[in-house]
Amino acid sequence: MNQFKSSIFKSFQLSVLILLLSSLCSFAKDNVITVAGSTTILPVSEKWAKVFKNKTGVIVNVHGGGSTGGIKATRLGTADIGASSRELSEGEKKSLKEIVIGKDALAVIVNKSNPIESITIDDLRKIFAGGIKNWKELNGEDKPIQVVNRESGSGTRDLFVDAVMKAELADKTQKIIPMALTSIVNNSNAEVKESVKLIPSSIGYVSVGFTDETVKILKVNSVSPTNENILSGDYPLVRNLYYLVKNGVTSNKKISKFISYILSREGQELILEEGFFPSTN
Amino acid sequence: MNKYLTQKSNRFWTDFVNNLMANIFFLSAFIAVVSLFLITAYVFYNGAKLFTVIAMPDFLFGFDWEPVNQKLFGILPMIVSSFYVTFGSLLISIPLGIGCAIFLAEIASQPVQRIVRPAVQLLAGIPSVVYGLFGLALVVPLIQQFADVAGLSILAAIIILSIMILPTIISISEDSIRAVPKEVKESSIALGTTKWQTIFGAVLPASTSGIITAVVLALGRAFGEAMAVKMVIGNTQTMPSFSPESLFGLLSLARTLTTNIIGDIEYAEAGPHQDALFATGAILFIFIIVTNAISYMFRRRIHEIR
Repeated sequence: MNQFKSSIFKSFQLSVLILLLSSLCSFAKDNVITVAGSTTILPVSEKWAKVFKNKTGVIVNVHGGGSTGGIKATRLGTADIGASSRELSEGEKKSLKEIVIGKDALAVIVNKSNPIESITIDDLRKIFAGGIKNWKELNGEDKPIQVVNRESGSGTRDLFVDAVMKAELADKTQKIIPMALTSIVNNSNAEVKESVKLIPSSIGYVSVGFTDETVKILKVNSVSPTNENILSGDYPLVRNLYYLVKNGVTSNKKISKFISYILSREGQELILEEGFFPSTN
Repeated sequence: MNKYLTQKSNRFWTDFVNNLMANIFFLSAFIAVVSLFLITAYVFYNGAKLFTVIAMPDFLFGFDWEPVNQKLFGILPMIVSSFYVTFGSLLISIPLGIGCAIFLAEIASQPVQRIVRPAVQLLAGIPSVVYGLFGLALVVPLIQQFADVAGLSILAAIIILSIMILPTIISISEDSIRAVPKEVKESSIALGTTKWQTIFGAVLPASTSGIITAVVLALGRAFGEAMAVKMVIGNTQTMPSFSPESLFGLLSLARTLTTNIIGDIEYAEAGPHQDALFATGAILFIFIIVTNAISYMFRRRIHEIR
């Protein structure tokens, strides 16, 4: 009997504890925004979150998980905002709203000693697929081309594949040409830059924010990746970076406040600092 | 009576502390063994998941690694490169290491020994990233000057690794040369041999098993090294070309088992890609266990001889 009593008492204690904790949680939730998705956007989101918290006291929790993971989480409601470095599909557009928060551009880089100044998307595709193997085929020196690639799964590589490796077929559909496996594989923008700096006959691609005077940036389809060309859309290797919210959710005060902060001049200056480009001029 | 009592209580405390310490030490040993077991089980369990997706021969003998877009999980080029790099570096460091060990044990004067030995020990303490940096800044450009190639190559990895495994070979060989009984040396000299004849004819044969232990341990280290190799080998996922133009593979770019793991793990999504990396780890693990078993056998033989 005594034992029974104490077990009732224990379960009572437990339920009080659970109630207390859950009320704490719901209290906390009023003050929290969850962002999940693209790892490319992650560092910028974290910076925004930090500044936004200092300004308003609203905590922004930032998670990775990849673009597709972010889209899923937003649809399911486990995240308030999804971060994505790819466009939404038609099906996804039905329930989600895209907000362009910035732009990311790729620079095609070669060694300083390489006399070539410009390259076309077609030639780039042939080089990375292993069709063009020597610089003399592009009126350069008689040297075998050394391709420097990123490892499979990298978002930067995905952007390159999307923008360069798609060939148009006779029936107007597109096909992705597989990349040759003979390339050097590096796992960060910085490493690719170092390899290209080191190897005279090499070619690689990095996010524009990572380039400096130690490598030569090629014009792509005769357009160089200057700020103006990227913002005007003339430079071809550009992608939008998105935040996604559920349709109708923008009426939520703290979320709309966060997004308007991001799109403000101050927020867009932060994205420039991280090597990306603002969504508008 | 009183004296007896205090003695007894003292005894109680000593026993208590003794038992406690024994238990603590047992726990430490237990944790070491359990972590080994857990890591092994985890690596092999996750690696085994891959074989629900592809067949084992496709993994071990496949020529292509393209895990994301084409779902190809062949690691044969990496197995070949791992062995190439390991045995290549042994080829350089065995003669150098044994030579240095003989010098330290038989020839060098005390003051010289006092400089060389700490230097060798320091060589063992340099972090592998620093070796990689050295390779990238010095060895790779040097290879570029001799041949019109990328410079990142199997040769660069071999050179870096052979320096990295030198300390292992030197210190264990030196110990086993020193352990050769004086009588062996003295009887050889009594037969009228020169110093060189004594070293090559009597001392070295007597310390063979120790030297083999040294070599096997060095082999394990070279096989398992990841960071330094990754920085100078290029991480290309194809079979090295064994053509004469690339010096029978020496100037080829390559990827070893270890560099495959650290190169891909950051971006590998859960699923076959990640499982394949665990399976790569399992292959490495099996090889390291085999080399350790061999070196253990040789070490036991040395003790039996003594």
